[in-house]
Amino acid sequence: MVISKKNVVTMKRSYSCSMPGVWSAVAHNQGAVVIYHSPQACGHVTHTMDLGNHYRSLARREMNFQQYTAPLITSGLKEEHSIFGGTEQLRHCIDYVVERYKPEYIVIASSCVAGVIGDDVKAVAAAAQEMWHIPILSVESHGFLNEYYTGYYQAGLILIERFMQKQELQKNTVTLLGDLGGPQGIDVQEIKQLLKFFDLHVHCQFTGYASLEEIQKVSASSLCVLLGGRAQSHVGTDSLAADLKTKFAIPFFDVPCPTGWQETKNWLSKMGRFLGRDDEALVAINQQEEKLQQALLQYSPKLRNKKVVLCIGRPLLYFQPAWALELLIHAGVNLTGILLLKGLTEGQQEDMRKELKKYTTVPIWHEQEEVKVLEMAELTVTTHELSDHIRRQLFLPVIPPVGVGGLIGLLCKLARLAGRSKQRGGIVYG
Amino acid sequence: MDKCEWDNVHTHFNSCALTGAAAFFAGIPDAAMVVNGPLWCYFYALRYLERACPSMNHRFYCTQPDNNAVVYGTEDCLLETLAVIRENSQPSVLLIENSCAISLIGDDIAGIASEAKFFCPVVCLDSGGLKGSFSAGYQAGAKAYFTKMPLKPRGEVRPHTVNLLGCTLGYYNAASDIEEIKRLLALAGYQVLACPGAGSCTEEIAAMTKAELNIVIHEELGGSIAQYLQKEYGMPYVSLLPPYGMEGSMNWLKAIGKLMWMGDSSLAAAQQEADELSKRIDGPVLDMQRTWGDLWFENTLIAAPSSIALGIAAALRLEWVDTGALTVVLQNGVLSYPVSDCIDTVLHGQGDSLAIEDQLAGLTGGLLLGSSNEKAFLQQKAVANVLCQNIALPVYDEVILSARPFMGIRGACHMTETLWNQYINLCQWENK
Repeated sequence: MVISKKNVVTMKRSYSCSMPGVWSAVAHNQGAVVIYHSPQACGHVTHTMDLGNHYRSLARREMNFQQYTAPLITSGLKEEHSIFGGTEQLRHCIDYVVERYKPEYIVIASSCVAGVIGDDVKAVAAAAQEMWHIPILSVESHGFLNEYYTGYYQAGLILIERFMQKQELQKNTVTLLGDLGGPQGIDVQEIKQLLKFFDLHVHCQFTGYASLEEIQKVSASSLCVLLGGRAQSHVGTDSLAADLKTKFAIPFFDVPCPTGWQETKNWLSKMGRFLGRDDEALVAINQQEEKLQQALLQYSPKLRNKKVVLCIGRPLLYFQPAWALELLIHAGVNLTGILLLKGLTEGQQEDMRKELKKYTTVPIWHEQEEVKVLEMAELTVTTHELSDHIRRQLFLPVIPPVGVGGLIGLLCKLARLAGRSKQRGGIVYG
Repeated sequence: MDKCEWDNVHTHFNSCALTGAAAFFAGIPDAAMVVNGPLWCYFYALRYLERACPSMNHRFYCTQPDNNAVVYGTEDCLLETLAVIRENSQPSVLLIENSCAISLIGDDIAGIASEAKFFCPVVCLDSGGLKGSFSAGYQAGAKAYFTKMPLKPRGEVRPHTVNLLGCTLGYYNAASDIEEIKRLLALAGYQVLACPGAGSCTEEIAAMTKAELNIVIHEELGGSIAQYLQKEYGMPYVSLLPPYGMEGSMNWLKAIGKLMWMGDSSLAAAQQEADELSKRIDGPVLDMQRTWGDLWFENTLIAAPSSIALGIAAALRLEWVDTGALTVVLQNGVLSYPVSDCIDTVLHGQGDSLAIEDQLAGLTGGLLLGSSNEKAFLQQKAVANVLCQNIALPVYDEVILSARPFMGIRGACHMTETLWNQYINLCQWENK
């Protein structure tokens, strides 16, 4: 019986492209311009992604209207370039961009097409740089042949190598490494609040929200803190942090961004030990615990003992179930079972089962084995939209929300969902 | 109309040929589609089309080639995907379209498909961004379909029958507009035999040669198909701006009537409906006018695919509002019709970003018929008090859940209602 509302795609490989990663790395850096050496459509795809972010930020009242957005230009590769090469096209494009936009620097991302036809983008960039006397940086990303975070990391690394110089240390300053919705985003605000307990002040977010002047602040930081740092994003931000430590001896707090209460507690403890400020860590932990307890007082009565099923359709690479299970424990619900959806390969199912067994002893079924448990559930917590007959679904976000604040946000949504009429059903996005 | 080859994409909206070709086949309910390319491209096309065509969720597949496939070919992953399709569905036709990089490696997709002995005709196409944009992909997909799936010989035509060409669910609110067009044509005594790419199955498309006339609704999508069908099957066609507004819709029907040798009596039912509707909306609109003043805008900007933008511009100026300067942005950058005198400036949506930004920046107190793309610019630049109505994709800030077309007689009523209500709302918020 098909229970998923949409077709669940079995992801055998990565589904990302490196060029938007390059874009994200510099998208809001004052003075930057990005060129995709690609067909025009690749620019449209990134712009669509960006437009979605714009409206999501607007909806969450996290919009920064003064934020700079780098112009994005595509070199416009066409069929003839696949035969004759596209380097001339790129060269003319760079010339035009320099004259029209007068950028402080240009970052060029190469597409899969450029990779297949063998255009030497690096050489074109170097020649143009010599001609125009502005930094023109090339990221050999090659579209889908690499991942989003590869593009992000490579672009960040190039910015470090090209622009950063050692500065005098500024005490109690932090550079945040990564994106997580930008400086106005709720997750970054949560991290900033936690850092305040240690008298740490965020003076830069790198790579994508820093002007050339602000990029210099990075090497003056007392500390780098990772935004993200788990699964795929770990590959990018962790590598950047390690590079900054190697080049400028900036210590980095090598702990992934916390999700939920346990991780937040660990994060604060470790930060306290890292800085030699255990007392401050204890104060922070107590305050966060009080915040959580107050929220539980409010939401738990609506959720206590409600029968819940957890449906998982994302492989372990993209979804670590620990935070979802912690959410359900705090909510006080009765987790009656876990259903693995049919989009997971056998290997992915096996990995997920092993991981789940570290945290829970509830029965774990495959979608094809057992769906009756779903019919008995009062609430369903899921990674995929399920058919309408499965009532009251909470959709788990792909990027888990940060900290105790994030956990409370999800508890609130779950409580609202529980208050919904059983007849109505429907889905709430976490 | 100027065009810069290297323009900032932030004022643009378009998608690639991969999406366009998929859109044509998505509009054939018994077709299945395979993207022979990365998941990234597949998900983009899926996301673009699934809102208007939910069934394609279960008909749209991706081979997910890895980096090795660029060197060794995609045969294995393609055969694996074909096996999945064979197990799960029974399409009447299958599209396999290569993304950009895959189209460069020279796989014999038709040969692989034939090796798989698939049970239905397989249409193979290189259709990534290298081939062009949405309209290029749509046209290529359509042509490939008609080449692979020959139509029945024309023989004796059925009187008063037509086909609609160039329609796609990949345009905003298309399903309602197509229904309204069919309804109008039925009022005038015509029967629509097929609408390839927008709801007709393979059997209906095969029989479309029996129609007296092909009507091209969107020239940028259907023009070349019409020419092809004329050449191959001797089918006459007409390409007109789509019908917007009461008068605009009646003029559209009259133009078709002339070609179909239908007398004025064929228009009686449609004219009667238009007249009754006009009488019905007059009273409430005049009431609002007395209280809130006239629908006057110093500047108006319309941004949409060319057929929609140019069609709606005429209805807007001649029937719905009073405006000073009227600027039209051709979102797809294709000028496929003569430009009416009612339009002051035409801009290229894929190459005039500076001019478009200037127009948007100067739109305070004006009217925008466009998409969420232009609205985002207005929000970022704090351009105040602009009356906005979405008429094109992308749309992030509106949902239409009922049959509320923009085209035709009912569309004229809906647009009048929407413009007035938005105007009144704007006046109220301005005062606050």
